[in-house]
Amino acid sequence: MPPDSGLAIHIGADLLTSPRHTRWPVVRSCRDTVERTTRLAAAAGITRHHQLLGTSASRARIGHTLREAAAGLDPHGHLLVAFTGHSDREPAGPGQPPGIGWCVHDGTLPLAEVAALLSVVPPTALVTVIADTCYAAALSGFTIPATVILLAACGANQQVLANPAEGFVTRLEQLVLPGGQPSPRCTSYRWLNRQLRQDTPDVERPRVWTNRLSAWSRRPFHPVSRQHLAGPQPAAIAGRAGNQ
Amino acid sequence: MRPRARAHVLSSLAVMLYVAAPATIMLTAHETVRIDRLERSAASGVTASRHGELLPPGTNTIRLDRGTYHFRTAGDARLHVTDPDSVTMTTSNIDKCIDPPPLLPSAPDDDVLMAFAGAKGGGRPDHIPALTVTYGDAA
Repeated sequence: MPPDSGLAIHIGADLLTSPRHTRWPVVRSCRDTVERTTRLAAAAGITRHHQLLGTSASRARIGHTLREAAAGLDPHGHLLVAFTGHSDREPAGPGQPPGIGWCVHDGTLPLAEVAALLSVVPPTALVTVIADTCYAAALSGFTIPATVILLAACGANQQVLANPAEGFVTRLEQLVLPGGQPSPRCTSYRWLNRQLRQDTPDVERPRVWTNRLSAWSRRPFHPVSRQHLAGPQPAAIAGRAGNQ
Repeated sequence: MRPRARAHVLSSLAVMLYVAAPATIMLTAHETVRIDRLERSAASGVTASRHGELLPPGTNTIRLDRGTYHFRTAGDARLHVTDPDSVTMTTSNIDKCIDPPPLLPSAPDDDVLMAFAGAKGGGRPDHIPALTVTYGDAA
């Protein structure tokens, strides 16, 4: 089977069964949000989609799907991972970052595990993560070799409302695909970041984050060309230099 | 895999306002604040819609119609209520679910029953900002 040039995993954790999570309010927009992220991924040229909702949004299923996607991705491919639902946070000791995880059907999926799975993606590939959850930007704290673009509903130490009238992904889709068509104004992640952050309260501010400077000037949700990562890979350059 | 070390202090104050009759409040905060109005429908449960424009840092006077409202801050805030008979409030250090006050003689029954389906995140804040409330004509 040839490697995937584009693959998307859309997770909507709308059915939580762990005792701690069942008392929490249901995020009613999960299905709608998954449809929106699917449209965004399609605009990016991705044709293979996994939608994991309800019982399918389990730790094992998500892990298995992420693992297969990471291993099977073309070296210049694009993996999009979208998560909508609750996150949990356990404060750590002094000077230590808190333990944050996505709340899924049968428990919590630590961000450390998500990052470890994404670290298997070829370093020349592109990973887009849409995090529509509390502490959304926390994934930016992990080192992942591939180019990562994180679209976060809020900061790493912020919470978002469970059921706003207009959620983060709704706003994202309006900016990128108004009326279902690519916006001519949405030409870079720098622009998108500014727009997302406009008109938001300090306590809940979306952000775009990337681990490559060159990614800021990329056109959001535009089909990936094989040259998309023409920029140097710091580790590879260091290795070559050391061998010379 | 551990994330790189970084300060991740969660500072959050959530305030629910139950307004039984049109009232004016003055909110002072050192940050941009959004006030949401909570509404309930059979189809979508309780949803939060923004009430008016964002409030810039400083003191803002807000007119509230009858209903249930909510705002959050990351820092300390002051709230002045001119008519304490019309406005009651609850604060919470967790946004997950804020229960309404059990008995509010001036609040409409429907609003008293409305528990707010809070944030998309569990976990207690590391820091709980202070809310100072004053009542009466003089702010």
